[in-house]
Amino acid sequence: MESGRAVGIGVVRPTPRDVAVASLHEHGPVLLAAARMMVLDEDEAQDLVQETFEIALRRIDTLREPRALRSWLLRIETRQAFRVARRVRRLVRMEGNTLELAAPDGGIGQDSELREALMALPARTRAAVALHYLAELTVRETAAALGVSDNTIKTQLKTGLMRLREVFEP
Amino acid sequence: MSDRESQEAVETRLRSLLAGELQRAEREYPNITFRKPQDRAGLSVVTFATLAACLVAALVLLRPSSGVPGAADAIVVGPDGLPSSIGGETVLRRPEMEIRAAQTGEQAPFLAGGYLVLDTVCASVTEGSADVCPESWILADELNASPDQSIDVAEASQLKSFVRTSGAPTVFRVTSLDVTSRHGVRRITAVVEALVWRRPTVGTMPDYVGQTKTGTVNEAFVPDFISVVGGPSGNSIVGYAPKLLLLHPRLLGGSRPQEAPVPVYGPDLTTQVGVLMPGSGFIPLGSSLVSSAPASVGASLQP
Repeated sequence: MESGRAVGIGVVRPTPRDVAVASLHEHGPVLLAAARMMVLDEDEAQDLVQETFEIALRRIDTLREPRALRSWLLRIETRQAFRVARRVRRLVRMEGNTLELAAPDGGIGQDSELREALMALPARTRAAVALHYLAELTVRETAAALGVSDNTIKTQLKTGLMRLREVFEP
Repeated sequence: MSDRESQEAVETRLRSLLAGELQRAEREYPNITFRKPQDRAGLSVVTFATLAACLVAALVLLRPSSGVPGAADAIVVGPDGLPSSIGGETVLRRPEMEIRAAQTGEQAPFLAGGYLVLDTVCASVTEGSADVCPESWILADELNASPDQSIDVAEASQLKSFVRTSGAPTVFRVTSLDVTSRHGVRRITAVVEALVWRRPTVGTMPDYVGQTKTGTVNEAFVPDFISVVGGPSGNSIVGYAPKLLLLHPRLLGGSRPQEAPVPVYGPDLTTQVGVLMPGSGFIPLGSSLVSSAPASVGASLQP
């Protein structure tokens, strides 16, 4: 009986909020990789991840489905990325720490043209490619992150792949 | 190789490249030291301050509302681009307001300055229902301030002279400060009674305008004045056009407002330097194509 009371008092179940907050940083690497693709600047990318976490912590209570945390974070990050882009354009000039995508392990130099073509894609197309192929969001999740329709994303992905394909078929 | 095979080959190489990027991020992420918000905002602030200094000349446009205790020349602008005093009355910043909020007893109204920023994750109005994309206005220390460097001004949008543009340096008259605490985070809300001063924003149109489902964008993120390019090179900024007239041509009047010229203003945002002619681009005043200047609407910043 005594132990029953003890159990009753001792069990503290974490709330969905606690779980979400605790797992925020598990998504840090994918947020960083996607941010690098979107803003093409190392400093901006790191700032973007930090801003994403700051916003997420403020709004964590609005997250209804903790399993959707990853896509929710990427959605916040994407929105912030284009706000960052706006800020940069608004300034007269910003000396950026321009980012070069790293070559994949064992493939140094092999895909340099592909990397260049990827970085030359229009910003929103590149973001769609990053969210879909790197972060593995569905078309619908990608569309939600970029605030456009599913069809627009399908078109952007198709256009992006066609541009990349030109690297191999000039 | 067929189209399908070719596409699959590109997708495979793309996935390989991006997998490498993800692995690099996984290796590097634990070693990244995120900077303090005030550090990471440094460059933007410095650059913006430079811009702000250039725009000090545009003080003519700073149309004080009835609540301003003095003439425009009584405005003293501080190093952060915000007025440090208006008509001899000190304009408080957030840190001073935090001290004030901690004091007890009835306090007189005071002036509070900062960058009025729309706080929302939704850029598009297509998903802008209040429950999905709640919006709130905050008065931030700087454009890129972190949440703890701002206070809420929830009632600001109810003011008669409110302009729905995010990022404008703004001064309010504050009647009281409310302090709340949620999840252990202390938050200050300023109850404002008048918009005393604001400087319009200039910049470019966000690139996603026209790309959303309905082709609309949250207009709060569009600067008050849009940079117009032209000149001999075609790349230099020749003036600024009011966003309201670009986004809502019907305000230009006439039977075919879509084809009406939009006035373009110089750096002071009040002197008209030309027009933006649909299909032709920028045409400077005095050009044979511009027979008469449209009516001046440069200071028409009301939404």
